[in-house]
Amino acid sequence: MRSRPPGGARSIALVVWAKELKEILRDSHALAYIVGFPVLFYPLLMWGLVQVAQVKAGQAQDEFPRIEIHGPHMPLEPLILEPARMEVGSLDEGDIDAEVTIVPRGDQLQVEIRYDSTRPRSERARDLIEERLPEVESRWLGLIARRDRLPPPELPEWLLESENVDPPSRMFAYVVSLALPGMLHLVLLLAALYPTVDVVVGERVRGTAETLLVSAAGRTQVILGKLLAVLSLTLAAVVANVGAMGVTLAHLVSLQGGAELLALDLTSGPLALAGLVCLGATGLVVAVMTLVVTPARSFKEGQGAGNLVVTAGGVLVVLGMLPLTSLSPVTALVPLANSVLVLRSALLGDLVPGLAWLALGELLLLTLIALRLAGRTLSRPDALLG
Amino acid sequence: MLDVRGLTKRYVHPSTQELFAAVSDLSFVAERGKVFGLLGPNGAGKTTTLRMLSTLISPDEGTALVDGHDLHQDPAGVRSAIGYLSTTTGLYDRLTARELLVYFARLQGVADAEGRTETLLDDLDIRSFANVPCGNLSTGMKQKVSIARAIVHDPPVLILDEPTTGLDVLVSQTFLRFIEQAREDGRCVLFSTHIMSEAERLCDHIGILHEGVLRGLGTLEELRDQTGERYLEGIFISIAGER
Repeated sequence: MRSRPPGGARSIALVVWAKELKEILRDSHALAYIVGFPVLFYPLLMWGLVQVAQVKAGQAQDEFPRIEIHGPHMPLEPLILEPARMEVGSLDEGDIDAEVTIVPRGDQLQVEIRYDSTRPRSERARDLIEERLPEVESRWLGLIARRDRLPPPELPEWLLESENVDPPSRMFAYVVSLALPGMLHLVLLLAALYPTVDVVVGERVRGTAETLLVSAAGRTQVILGKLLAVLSLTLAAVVANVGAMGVTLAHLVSLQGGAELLALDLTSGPLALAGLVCLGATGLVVAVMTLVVTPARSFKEGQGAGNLVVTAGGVLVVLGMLPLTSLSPVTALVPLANSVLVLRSALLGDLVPGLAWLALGELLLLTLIALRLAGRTLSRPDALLG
Repeated sequence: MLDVRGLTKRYVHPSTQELFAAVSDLSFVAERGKVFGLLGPNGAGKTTTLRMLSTLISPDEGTALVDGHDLHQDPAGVRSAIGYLSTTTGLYDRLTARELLVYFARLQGVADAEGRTETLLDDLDIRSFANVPCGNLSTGMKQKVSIARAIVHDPPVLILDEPTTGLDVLVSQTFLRFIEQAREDGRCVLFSTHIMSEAERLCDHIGILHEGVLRGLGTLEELRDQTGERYLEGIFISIAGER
């Protein structure tokens, strides 16, 4: 007999792993899911966002900038000529678009402008103010000259201080740190669904389970190979999404004015730790997805069961995306939300390592429990036979 | 070669929720170089028996020795000794015939998986479509690949669960020739069917299973003598209708 006892768990698991990868990557649906979606989605999303931004900017051109002016005894009329108009309110809450204070300091004017560069109308208000300052200064000097009965003096430079109340770098970093971890985890949930259903339920639906289970390879090894395949494909989908997202983001940053725009505090240690936590989250999603879809008797049933995991996981991810949620000893124990929050903190440079390790430990523990249950379910005699 | 001793499997009936025996106290011996036919109508317990003998499900009572390996004590040994085939066993549509055979050869621990695959491609006349994905093969081609997969590790025992059900006459012939060849090669073949003509043509020994109980056992001649019926269909009706 040419056969020998099959190799150890590792070698058989690798044989099953390689076969599952080969098979799934030949499926056009899977390829579209893993590669096609990220390659098309993020550029399209960016193009859409740019279009929306341009429309907004166009609308801002048509709207009168609202300016609050402080400058007692100053000839401020030029500042509120159309299209600008004077209003009183809070810049932070968007009641006004810019706030200007003009104070004489000796023979110079000290000008302070507060504006919000993330709002096109506010930037326009700042431009209008700077454009009209020479007129204000000219009138002011004229007034002084008339008061002192002297010829108008040379125009000295004024002292201009601009304060951007919401610098785009801070805003951009905040939005990225809020959106990117959440989107990554939503992609992770969706990415795990297709390969899990195909690898686990497909074996039963296509009638290949019997021949697989009567082979000399042990069930544990087969199951391990399948779980590894799903984990690899899910990670591949996540990496493809991160890559496409990164390229799109870099392009967006370059369009908007350079790398300094993205004021993320990227340091390798916290990012590596966050990567480990995300890997733990991936393991948990794959294990739970496998556990839940195993009893399904058709692809439809499998997808229905898997969608429950996507929905429940999505709720936890959204919880982690909420602006008011932050990483704490409590949220570090909420699966998936903790992974989102750890990644967010790592991007903003305020990650507390102890909380990240707590989240990682909790995710690994849950993954082991889910894997054990999934292994038991798959090992039941009727699990793959139907 | 295949020594079955008091094999019993009980299930809970899905509608009545009562325990019933799908197979009850089944014992028989199948020998090397012989074809043993397990005959019975749908629901007789044939598939349950073959699944127990191939370690897919565990018996509640009894055991069997398959090529010397005990079902309970050495299930891995049993699996390495059998080739299993049924009409419901599918192929991986996205793998080619060659890839599928290499995959199963590796799972079975065949030392030279590629070499064994190349031999089978020639032996079973598969080479011309060896690189075609299984999903694109005709039914006859698929059956050849299934047969090759079942014997890729050169097993001494073949367990075939109604392999010709639903196949046309020409494809069925491929199977029947394969079973005859397996007997000539000295393998022990356990073959379940409800097609009496196939059993008459192939089986050296026949077991008639009805409602989970072995009602008749012997060669065709012995069963003819027991019942006085000439054809297997009459023998079957005579034996199954006795109790």
